[in-house]
Amino acid sequence: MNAPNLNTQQHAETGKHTGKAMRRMEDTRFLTGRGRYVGDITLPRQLYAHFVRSPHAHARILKVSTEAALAVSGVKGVYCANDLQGTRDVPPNWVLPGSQVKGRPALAREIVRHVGECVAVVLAESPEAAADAGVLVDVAYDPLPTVFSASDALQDGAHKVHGDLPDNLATTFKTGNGGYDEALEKADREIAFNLRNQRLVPFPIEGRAVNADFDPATERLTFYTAHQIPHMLRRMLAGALGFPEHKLRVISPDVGGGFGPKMHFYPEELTLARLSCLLKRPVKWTERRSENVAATTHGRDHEMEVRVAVQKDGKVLGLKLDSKANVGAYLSSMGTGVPTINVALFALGVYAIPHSDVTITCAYTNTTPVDAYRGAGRPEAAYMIERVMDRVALELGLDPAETRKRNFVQPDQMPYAQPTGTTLDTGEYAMTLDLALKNAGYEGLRKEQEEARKKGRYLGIGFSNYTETCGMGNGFILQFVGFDRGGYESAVVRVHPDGRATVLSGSHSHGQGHVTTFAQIAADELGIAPEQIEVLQGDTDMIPFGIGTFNSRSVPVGGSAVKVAAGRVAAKMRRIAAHLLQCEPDNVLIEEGIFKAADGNGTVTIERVAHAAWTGHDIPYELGIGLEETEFFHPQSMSSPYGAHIALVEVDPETGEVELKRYIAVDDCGVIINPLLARGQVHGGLAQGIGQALYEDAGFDAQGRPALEPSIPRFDMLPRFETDHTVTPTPTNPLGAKGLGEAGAIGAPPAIVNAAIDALWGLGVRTLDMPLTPERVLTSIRNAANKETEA
Amino acid sequence: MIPAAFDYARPATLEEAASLLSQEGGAALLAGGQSLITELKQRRASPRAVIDLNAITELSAIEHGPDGVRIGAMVRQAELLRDATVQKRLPLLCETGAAAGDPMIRRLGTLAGALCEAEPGGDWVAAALALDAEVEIYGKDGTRRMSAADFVTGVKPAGGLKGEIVTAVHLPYQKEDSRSTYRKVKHNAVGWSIASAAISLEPGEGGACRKVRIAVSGAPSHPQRLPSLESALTGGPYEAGRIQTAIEEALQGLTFRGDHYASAGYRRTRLGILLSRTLQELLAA
Repeated sequence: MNAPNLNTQQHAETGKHTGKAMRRMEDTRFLTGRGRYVGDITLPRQLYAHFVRSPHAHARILKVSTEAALAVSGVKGVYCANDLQGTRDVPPNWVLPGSQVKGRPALAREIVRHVGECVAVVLAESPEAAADAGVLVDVAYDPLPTVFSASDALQDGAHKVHGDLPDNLATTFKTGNGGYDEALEKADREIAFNLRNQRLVPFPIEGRAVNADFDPATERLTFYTAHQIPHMLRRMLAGALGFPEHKLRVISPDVGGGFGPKMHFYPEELTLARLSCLLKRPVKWTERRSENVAATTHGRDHEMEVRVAVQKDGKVLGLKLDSKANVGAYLSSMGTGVPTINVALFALGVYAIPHSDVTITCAYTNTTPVDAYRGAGRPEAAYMIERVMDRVALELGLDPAETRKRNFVQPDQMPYAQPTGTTLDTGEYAMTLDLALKNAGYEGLRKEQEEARKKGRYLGIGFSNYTETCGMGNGFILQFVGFDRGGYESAVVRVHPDGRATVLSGSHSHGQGHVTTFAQIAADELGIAPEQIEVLQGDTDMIPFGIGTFNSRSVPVGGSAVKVAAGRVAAKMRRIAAHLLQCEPDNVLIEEGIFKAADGNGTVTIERVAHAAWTGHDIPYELGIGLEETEFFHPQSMSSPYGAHIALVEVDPETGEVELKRYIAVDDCGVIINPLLARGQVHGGLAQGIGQALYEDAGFDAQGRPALEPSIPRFDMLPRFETDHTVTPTPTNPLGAKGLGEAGAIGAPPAIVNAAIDALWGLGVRTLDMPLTPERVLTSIRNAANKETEA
Repeated sequence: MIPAAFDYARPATLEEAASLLSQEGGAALLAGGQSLITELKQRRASPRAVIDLNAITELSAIEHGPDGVRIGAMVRQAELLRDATVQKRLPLLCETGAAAGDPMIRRLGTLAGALCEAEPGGDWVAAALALDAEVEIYGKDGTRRMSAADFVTGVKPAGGLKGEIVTAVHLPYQKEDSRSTYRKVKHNAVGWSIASAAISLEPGEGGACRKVRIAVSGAPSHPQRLPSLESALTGGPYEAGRIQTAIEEALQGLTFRGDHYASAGYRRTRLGILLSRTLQELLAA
């Protein structure tokens, strides 16, 4: 399909409410301290948990001595793996076919395999008693040899993470249409280099938190948890616990940030659910920051070798990628899926590259399990292919924007099936890049760069034309790649007799603002104001089966479910109103809660219509009772947001410091429901992407302990963002919306690193690894200078 | 983030506080709490008792004299930075304060507390050293004063205090014609400095400096003055090569610290560049 060429500025007015920069209705509550998080929920007869964790990356547990801990007043008990009989390991939910699966034990049995692994848990009548006793649990360990990186783990003779896995191999995934060697024969030259996508600690402001409450009277388990996907967690928890799913209620109230790690199922959750059932009392745990950095999943961690066969005009004929991915000590929920499917499928980005060979090898190591983190595989892919594009341009002396244009998939090729396995649904890449170039004042920037160079200042301009896919599609496709989830989302739309409406949604906001955006979507359909609509999420007893919030899917899939359900309720209201107005339903208009016949003959209020619907008064029997519709919106395929980002940096060649001077982002997420919140998503994503490029890594020490204080960027470390959008609506859902939550985190790292390399290319610097710490940059400058001297 | 249990006392007078301090082995003094509370919560400190100085009103005064100011130990950093005379007579202190911590920390933190903590990356300590501060100490034998340079030696507790309480910090005013600045390279993760310098120059005859005071923080093992650099720069002439050599010589005598974010070698390099650039700028002014 050849998508219409529209810019947001002309296209913002999509509806009466959608397309408007409405302020978040939930903010009054959050900004006045009235958010209600799991940590705020304390139940009668509450017990408190404190986990005892391994300080070793790999060790045999010799003995757990609990006497001193048990002697602390208020301690109910100290529990180890033996006390959790009948509990399965926490299983992954996405297992690429052929993977060697090692789930996370609820509590370690005999061996610990990463720092922070749970060995025992203290339960006490107060959090203070639990903490006091926790430090008194004495665990004797016999340290074992360790392996921390994927490349080390895959070496012959590497130390084994799991005794029965001789090669530490979790899985190998290959894709692409092959023929790289052929491409190389036709090419003018080959460019090869290595890339590191470093491990990151996701770091939401609210850590994880759980309150597990088994009620012996009803034999129901109510499980409060700070989570992104409550229904999926219910299924996973019920399975591992052997608990009847219909009597398990998961409640995820306000959630203070997730970024991916809060969609996984964790050992602490399983342990506490089991102990609540055993003790028949509620058990509460709130994660400490030191636990968060060591035991909550990490992101990224790929070591890549890339080769491209290129013509001298910049056209890339073939790409060969070999990546080693570190999955950590065990497979977390999205296990072997994120590092393989989510990376490999996007390896060719927005480019028509005739030949590709992609291999990804996943290895177990003695580190915290790695799982989805904002972008989840697509940042790794985008970083690689976008670094390639700038490198090709620099090596060949071409302009990086022009080089991209020579390789773009063209609009008339859409939908375009990449040989790696993904399908790009829409995209006008040159148009979006041109807008970014215009917004940046690109020609002027190049002149500025040239002038600055004469004065000994090193400016650099870097590009990124990322793409990804969002939403999750047809369940059949998910099954094919071993992802044990559906791709749909649920919504219930209910208009009450007073004319106000409730929206129940299987998506779950952990900061995205669904209360506002989903109300805007429903309001346009129902003909009432968003303020008249309450959006409820996060309670599996109240909300039909849903999938939850991740993969930038809430608006495209969850929002579409709301639109479809609300549309059906509106149709029913029209039929009732038509009867009351004595006209045809097609002739009924609704505006601000008033129905009127198109010929202007009389009006009827939404209250009157809703009253008739819920009483059966004044309407024929055949119209039926109620104004409530449920939709499980199930997309056939995924949408492909994309964007063009440009970074301007200045590098101080004496100190190695990289200053990000400007950041220009043009994102295309299709139709935008709320431009204000869209901008917020872009800003947040960029901040995390810039964090990866310039500041962050997990910072393991020699013992495999992650740094306690990751260098997450604060606002004073970020420039003013220059954001804009193009709009190519997706045909994959009725909103035409693609998803935007991860875009910034995907687009920013390559743009910034490319800019820094562009600045230093003349000094002989050919590559830089993230994060671009001043020390690392300075070392690269000095090494390049030394090489030049030697030559 | 739950501290181990401790006794808590909130004396109303200095005498009472000193008496409690002498009774309680392993007691900690609580002023602004910006270091102690974190240490307690992370159980890096488990004192038997915490003696809270917040009710001792006599520690909260800013007293200006003809040549300098006496800043009570409980004067908040934010309050100090709002004082009009401090703003006028101690610009280096104010410039440092603006770079130290954040508004919430400065709202509670104290200058005396920052000197007692003497963090290796401390901002206030560098300024206090460069300003020739003195620390006033109260103990059972009365009150004594110690120069900041003797007080901050990298050994804890600062000043080697035992059963004594820091009651005030004395700062002589800067000369009206002095040129000073505080420059800091921030640690990306925690905001401490990885290299910083507090510099005050007093101009003399013909553009040469009569008096040079330079204190560095963040990069070396503890904040300290650089006497060899100071004397090399007293009197001029200020050729770039000579300044560079003097900086290198001064850095040779230091021990550098490093961490995951910035190694000792990088901190040394960065401090050298910071000193060189800042001195060139100040000397050219």
